[in-house]
Amino acid sequence: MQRAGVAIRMSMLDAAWAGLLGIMHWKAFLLMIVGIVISSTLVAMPGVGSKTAIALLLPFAFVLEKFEAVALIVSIWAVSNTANSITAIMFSVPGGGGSQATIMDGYPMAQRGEAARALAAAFTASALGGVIGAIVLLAAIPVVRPLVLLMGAPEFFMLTMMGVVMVGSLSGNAPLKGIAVGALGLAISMMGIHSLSGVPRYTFNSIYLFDGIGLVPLTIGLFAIPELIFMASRGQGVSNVELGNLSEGRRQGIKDAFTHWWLVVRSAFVGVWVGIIPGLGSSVADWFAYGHARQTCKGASETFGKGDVRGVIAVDAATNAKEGGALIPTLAFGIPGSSTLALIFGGLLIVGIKPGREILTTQLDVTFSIIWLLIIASIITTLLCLLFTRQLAMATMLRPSILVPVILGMAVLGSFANSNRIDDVVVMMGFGIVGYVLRAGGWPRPPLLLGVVLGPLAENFLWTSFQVYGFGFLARPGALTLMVVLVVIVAYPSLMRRWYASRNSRDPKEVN
Amino acid sequence: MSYLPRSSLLTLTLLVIFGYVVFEATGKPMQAKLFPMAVGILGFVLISIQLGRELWTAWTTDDTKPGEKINQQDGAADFAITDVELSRIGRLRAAEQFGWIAGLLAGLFLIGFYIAVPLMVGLYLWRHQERPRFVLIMTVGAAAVVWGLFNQLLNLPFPEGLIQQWLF
Repeated sequence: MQRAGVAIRMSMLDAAWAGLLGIMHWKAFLLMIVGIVISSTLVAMPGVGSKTAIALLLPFAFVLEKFEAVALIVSIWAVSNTANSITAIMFSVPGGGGSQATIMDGYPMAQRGEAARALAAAFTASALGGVIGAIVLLAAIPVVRPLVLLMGAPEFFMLTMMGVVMVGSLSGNAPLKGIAVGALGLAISMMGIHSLSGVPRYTFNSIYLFDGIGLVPLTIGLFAIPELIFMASRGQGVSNVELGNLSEGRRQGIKDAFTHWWLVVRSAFVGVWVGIIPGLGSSVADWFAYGHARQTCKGASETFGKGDVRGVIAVDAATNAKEGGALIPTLAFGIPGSSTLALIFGGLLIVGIKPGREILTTQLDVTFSIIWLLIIASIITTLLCLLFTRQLAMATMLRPSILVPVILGMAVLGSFANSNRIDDVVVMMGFGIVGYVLRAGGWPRPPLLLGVVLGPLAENFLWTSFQVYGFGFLARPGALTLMVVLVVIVAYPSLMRRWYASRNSRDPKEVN
Repeated sequence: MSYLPRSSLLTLTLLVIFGYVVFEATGKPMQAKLFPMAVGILGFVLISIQLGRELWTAWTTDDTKPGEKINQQDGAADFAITDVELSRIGRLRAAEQFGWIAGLLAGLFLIGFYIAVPLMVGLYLWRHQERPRFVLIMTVGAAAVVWGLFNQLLNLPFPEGLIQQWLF
């Protein structure tokens, strides 16, 4: 028995070594660098995500060896979250799914002249998150299967609701507004032909709306357009504060990520957990991590949303760690957690690698090469991005007369790239007005976005739960537990505020 | 004091939207209406409470006391609006931006992406008195990005403008 255990450990070590050697071969390594550079450049543009980059390079996989193809495809995907944060922090334009919550504190930091610090903190947290995600992937493969199988549709439904309510309840003194906007997002997600019944809903007889509202134009419209308008109406660029010592800002950002190492670890685990659940994916992990940080960090209710570096660190650690988590169901059960992972899945099949049992037994070296890639590609990307932090940060000082047309042009092109339809540009501009009105009226925009993302999932889980258990699904132990957690999430901030207020009124000296 | 504060117009709009969500769902089969009904009713109730709170605060607040005025940004998990943005000049500038956005959209339909996007970049820079050489470089650069990167490299099939379709 002991000998068998040693043999398995030896074969694991052999596979880990073979995987490392495979991707460190000069050709595979070069392809990894190519993947990193292409991915970092393309995903920094709004609307052009890692999916486009992978789709562009996938045909090359046909002529590549096993490890070379893995190095190219996985590196594109592994580093996309790092570069996504660049435009989110500098111009409040989300580079793609996963960088939306980075805006919340990254952009105010850039406005304050701390773009270098925010970028460096984001890049470093992203690298740390990527490494943690890879380690968790390594450790989790044998144990995660029963955990995921334990959860049924009712629990998944409650989990999606938890996501919307969590972000909605972050609306400070007005959680009601946040949750209501989240419900509006869920309502928007219902537009189009209902996938289960084939019934058109809220389409107003428009053929375009039969496919529903695209997430990319909605996101760009909701966040980028209002910021452009406000930037122009202020008559100044992103930041009018002196940028100061950019090298110092960069050093401080790196230091911040290590100082808040426990937040990085916690957020990375949030990311991994969200990644494991098929379908939740990148657009959710960032908000879950942001919500977690806002509810657990000291003094967060006062500083989050106003440029707290912890808000940036938590989000970026989670979004990169999520990739490790997302690979668990893809590799272990052959279930791609997202459309991008489905593309990677296809790429692996092209070179004869079959996700599922095979990749965990006879092709374990490939699994390890992917884990190594997550670590090495994350670190290389972070180093490259850190090198250019100075130049990136200086872009925030540009005049609005230069920034506005450039960002508006990018927003238009990015929206069109979503599905090659001009209607997407109209939708983007429409949601630009919605975003402007919401922001001007003091209604939070993030819950709307999360509602749109989680709506289809929530509906599927609700219907499955209803079909199997009727309304009794709400009484299942797992669903009940999550419901209690949900109530605590909503009630906790307001209870804490009341508790602090009563303590302050009792003993002002003690508080000061 | 007014019967319906201006800030509550948005709340009222949302109330109508949630009402419509429920209304349209009623005639649908169970499979298609379960989620809309759940979300619509929940949203309607939440917004009704919010509207009630806003109206109550407006009716019981004395406008003459500045400290009692409602702060629209209070509690919003979003970026705060600055005073410049709320000023008359700020609003005028915002209106101008809406004009640019509408103009760009019209341009995309009429003359297509290849011309509209670089033209918008050039005109915007020219309107804000950037140096002519810089305006030219940026306009050509925008055209190169639209055609070279997005069309040639990423294969985005930009549609022709209505004017080109009519002419050729």
